[in-house]
Amino acid sequence: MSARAVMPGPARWAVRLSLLWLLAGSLVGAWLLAAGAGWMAAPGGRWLLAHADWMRFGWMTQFALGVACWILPRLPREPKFGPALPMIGGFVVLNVGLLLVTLGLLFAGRLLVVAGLLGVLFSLQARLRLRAGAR
Amino acid sequence: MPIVTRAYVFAALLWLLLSLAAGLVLAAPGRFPAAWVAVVMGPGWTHMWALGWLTQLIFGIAWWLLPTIDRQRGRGTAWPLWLGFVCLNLGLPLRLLAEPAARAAPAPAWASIGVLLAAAMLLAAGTCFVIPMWRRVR
Repeated sequence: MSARAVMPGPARWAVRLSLLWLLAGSLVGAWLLAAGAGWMAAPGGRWLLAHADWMRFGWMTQFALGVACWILPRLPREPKFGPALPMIGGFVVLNVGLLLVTLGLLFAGRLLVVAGLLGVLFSLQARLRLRAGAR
Repeated sequence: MPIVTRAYVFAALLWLLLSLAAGLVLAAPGRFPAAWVAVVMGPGWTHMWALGWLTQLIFGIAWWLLPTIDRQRGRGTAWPLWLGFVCLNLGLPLRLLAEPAARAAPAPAWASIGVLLAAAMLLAAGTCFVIPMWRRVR
């Protein structure tokens, strides 16, 4: 089995978490839509912000970065995936930030989301500079 | 590239074109029929590019790209993805038509039912992607 056939741990968890955010975001989106047509009680405005952030950052951005951690050219020496701490810490902080957004702590939540994304990008930056096929 | 991926990517590109056209409608609403403006106003335009274009493109490419289940089963059965494709590409236009109509006073009965149906279809589209992909994330 080639090394590409299995994702590294942080990428695997990022993609799994993004799938969970997609499910949660779809559920809240369907609730907001049905409530708008009078089928259900209208949720507070906080849920609209949570739905938007879950889908933008929890689903799309986290999925893209998770796949990038797996698919980008690897470094020629250890650590081949780039520094692990900013990558793992970045994904953890990103997801904690999304939970804070859900709790209505919008500023603190988005601050953590940005910090998390910067952590992951910092971890990937050396790999982003490699030419495709250089691994 | 698997056929289901091609279908998703082709549909995503069509939604990209539609959302670009809708952006023009939003930029100069006075030049277009009021019904067109109503369809793309509010959350309609956002969902055209976020769901019709980006999410659909991700769904299709992820099915092609992510690790296979194993050597025998390959990517697994594609029927949930096909079901999700139908739900997404029927649910999204239904939402675009029914949501503005449901906001009118008095709202026609079809619009209210259409919104509920669209909500169920869009939720189903996400679920139909997550379930088969979960075991491929390994």
